Amino acid sequence: MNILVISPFPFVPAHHGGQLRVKAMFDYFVGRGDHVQAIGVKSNWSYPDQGGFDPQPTKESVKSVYDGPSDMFSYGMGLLYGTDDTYYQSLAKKVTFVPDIVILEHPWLFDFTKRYISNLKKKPFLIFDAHNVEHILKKGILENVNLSHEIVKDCVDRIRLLEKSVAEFADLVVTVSYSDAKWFKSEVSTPVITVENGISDWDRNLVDCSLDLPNEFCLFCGSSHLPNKLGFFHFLGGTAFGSLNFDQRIIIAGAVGNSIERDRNLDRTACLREKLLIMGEIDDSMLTVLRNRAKVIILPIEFGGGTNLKTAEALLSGKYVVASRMAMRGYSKFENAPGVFIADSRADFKKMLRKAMSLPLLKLDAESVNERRKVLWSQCFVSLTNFLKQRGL
Amino acid sequence: MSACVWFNLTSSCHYGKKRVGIIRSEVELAASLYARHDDVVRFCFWNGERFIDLTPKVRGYFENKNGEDWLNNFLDDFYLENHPLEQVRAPQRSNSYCLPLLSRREALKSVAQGILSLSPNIMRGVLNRLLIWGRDSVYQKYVTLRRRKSHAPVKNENQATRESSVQDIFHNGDIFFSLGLDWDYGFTETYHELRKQGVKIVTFCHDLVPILFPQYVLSYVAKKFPSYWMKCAEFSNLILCNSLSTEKSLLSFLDESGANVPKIQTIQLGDWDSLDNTSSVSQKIIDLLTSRYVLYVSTIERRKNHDLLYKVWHNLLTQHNEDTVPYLVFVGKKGWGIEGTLCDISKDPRVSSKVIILTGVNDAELMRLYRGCLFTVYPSVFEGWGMPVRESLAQGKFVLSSSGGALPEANAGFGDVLEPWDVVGWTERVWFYVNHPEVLKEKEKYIRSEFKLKKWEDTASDVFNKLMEIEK
Repeated sequence: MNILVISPFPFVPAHHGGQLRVKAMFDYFVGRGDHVQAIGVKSNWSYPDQGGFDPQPTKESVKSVYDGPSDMFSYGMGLLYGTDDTYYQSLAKKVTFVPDIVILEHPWLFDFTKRYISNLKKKPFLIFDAHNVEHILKKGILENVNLSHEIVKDCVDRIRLLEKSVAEFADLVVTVSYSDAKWFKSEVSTPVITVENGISDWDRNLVDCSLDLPNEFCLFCGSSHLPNKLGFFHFLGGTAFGSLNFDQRIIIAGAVGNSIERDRNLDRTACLREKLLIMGEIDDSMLTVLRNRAKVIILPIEFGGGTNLKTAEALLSGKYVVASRMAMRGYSKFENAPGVFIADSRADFKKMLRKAMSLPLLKLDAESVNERRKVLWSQCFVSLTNFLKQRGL
Repeated sequence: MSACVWFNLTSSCHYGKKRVGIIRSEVELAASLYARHDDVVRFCFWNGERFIDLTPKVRGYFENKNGEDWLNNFLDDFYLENHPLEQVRAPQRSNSYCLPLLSRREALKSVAQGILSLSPNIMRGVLNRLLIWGRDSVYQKYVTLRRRKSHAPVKNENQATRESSVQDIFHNGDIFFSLGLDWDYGFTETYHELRKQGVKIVTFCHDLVPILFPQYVLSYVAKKFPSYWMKCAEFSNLILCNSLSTEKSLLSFLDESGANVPKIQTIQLGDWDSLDNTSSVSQKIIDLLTSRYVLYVSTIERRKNHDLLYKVWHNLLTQHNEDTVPYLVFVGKKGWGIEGTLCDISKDPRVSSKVIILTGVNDAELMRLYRGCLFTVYPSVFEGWGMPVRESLAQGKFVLSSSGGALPEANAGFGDVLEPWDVVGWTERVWFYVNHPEVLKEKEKYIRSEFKLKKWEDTASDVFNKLMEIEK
């Protein structure tokens, strides 16, 4: 079968959660023996070049179709590729076959997809891979930047309408979590299934004892994606931070550490800065070492993020996991699993962290280990496989 | 050597002025504990670098000058020994100056500003450069010198008591007990080491005002207070609180912070029932005693809510004949952040002549003021306990207090309690009691027959029992 993946970002190499999901989807169909092609647009200039992907359109050209806040760039870009013939043709001509299945990653390039499909003689089966319920995620982000209530509302309404339109037009909606699925099911009659985000395993023996790390530490990994920083302060901020003993630390890996370090909120919480070891962006092997040596992995996520692969990684690590309920989106079946602590409030989160850090190292039994291994990608596509089989695809 | 209880006297040792509030509690408890358990209790002092053993010197005062004030005498001598300049410093004048006093830093700035402003244009460039140099070098040196003087480790090598270090004086199983203004000193950093040595740490929570009401304290205290409590929570074996209200505040704060929650218990501090009656009483006070007045004994600062009483008296004087409204007497030294209220009072033609502010009042005068007042008031926004409320009750006087913090606990049902910001409610209640002396008389009768004083010996006994319990 010919499978066309349409994505608002390249995914080789895959770094952030969205890229990892698109790559996994791509690899899944390749693994089935299908002929798979990916096309799309670089919604950010910093993405590396990848065949089949247009460079980021200029801000001026996007503004010509939609003059909104910078956080709505992907939305404007989607409109541009649906309405502007030059941009449409640039992308459409990259497709080298007649697709049997089209997979639209995120809703942004829907106008292009719809126009492209309408030009085909035979309508392909359209799968909408909804990484998030975007309008809810965007609302949280836009409310934290300096925008008027009216602008935020307009943006949220536009995205909500777009998401609903894509879901109605598609033949199948794939969500990351069951809670996302619930929203789509309440809005459209299109079939909705959930393919939770999975991950790939890593080398568990890589511990690098020569690396000078605190004896006991909890690990927080995150990109510079704003909700990571906001979640950190939401769950670990406040008047004072007392969850860790004298010699315990929080290690922060990834670009989120730099933005936390620079944030004025850090010094508003007594005893928080002194407990942090900020590593910044690190390579995969270092991240592996940190994962393997951490006692606890924390997931202080306040809102948003369908592709919360950090949750899957935390679970697969076999370490204690202290997470907000939002961070367990898509992994709610693990909420009562051994070694998993779920917090609904800041005070709960801090208390859970103290509790987890005071326990002996987690030793999971074989059953729990197997259960946690269900977060691997190989296990996540079962529902999609079954659905496609039923439809003879 | 058997385990002992180390009573940390650092705050009292640093406090040379009249000892009130936390310092007074520290001294009373130290003296009472030592009087009952001198075989177990020892005293230490943080000199900026290490804890030193004060016990031999304190014992000397206890044995040779065994009067009621033996510990105060020791502290006076210790303070003067380490702050020799205090001996020659002129006593503070209580009368008002023609200009408001400034801090040394502000005064220097004003002088510099004056020189620059009054100098001829032609000289300003040179003067400006000179002042910048002065600011950067001379002033910094002055500040460093002042800091060194105020926090200098005690250096006199002849005194054997000062030779022990933190490692020497504490032993496995000892109990370190501290209830002073501990956040002002650096010794909490040693708690980790003390615990490693097997020393048990007992700290004391007087209130969480700097956390709950940071606007009412100096900003540096508000900043360091949460960190201080994080450390206490982590390393204390026991935290004692002075009221159930404080215990509740502390538990709530530790809970919100995710901190370790050690054993937390409440003990009741002692009351001061007798005031020294031997000092002379000034003519000003004698004259005042012939008038009708309501008394408020407290440091004059924002949290103590003198502003509410100003508004109440303004209302009373607006609504009623001036002759029927009693005087309002504030007794206490002026603190910070009260300038606005004092300015309002002095400029308000109705109120200015009805509010009397007394500072530097001696015990005999205070006792006479208590006895002569109609009743006392205590509208403080928040208190960890409420010593002045207890003091008023101990003098047999009815007190109208606020409901802030532990004040209802301290009041124990003997006085009335009102919301601290309810101006109308306070106005009505004050006016009611001003006009119903028979009700006040009944209340005073009830206080005299039912109010039970807490003796400091009993508090010392309670504390000692709690300390011994953590031994088990």
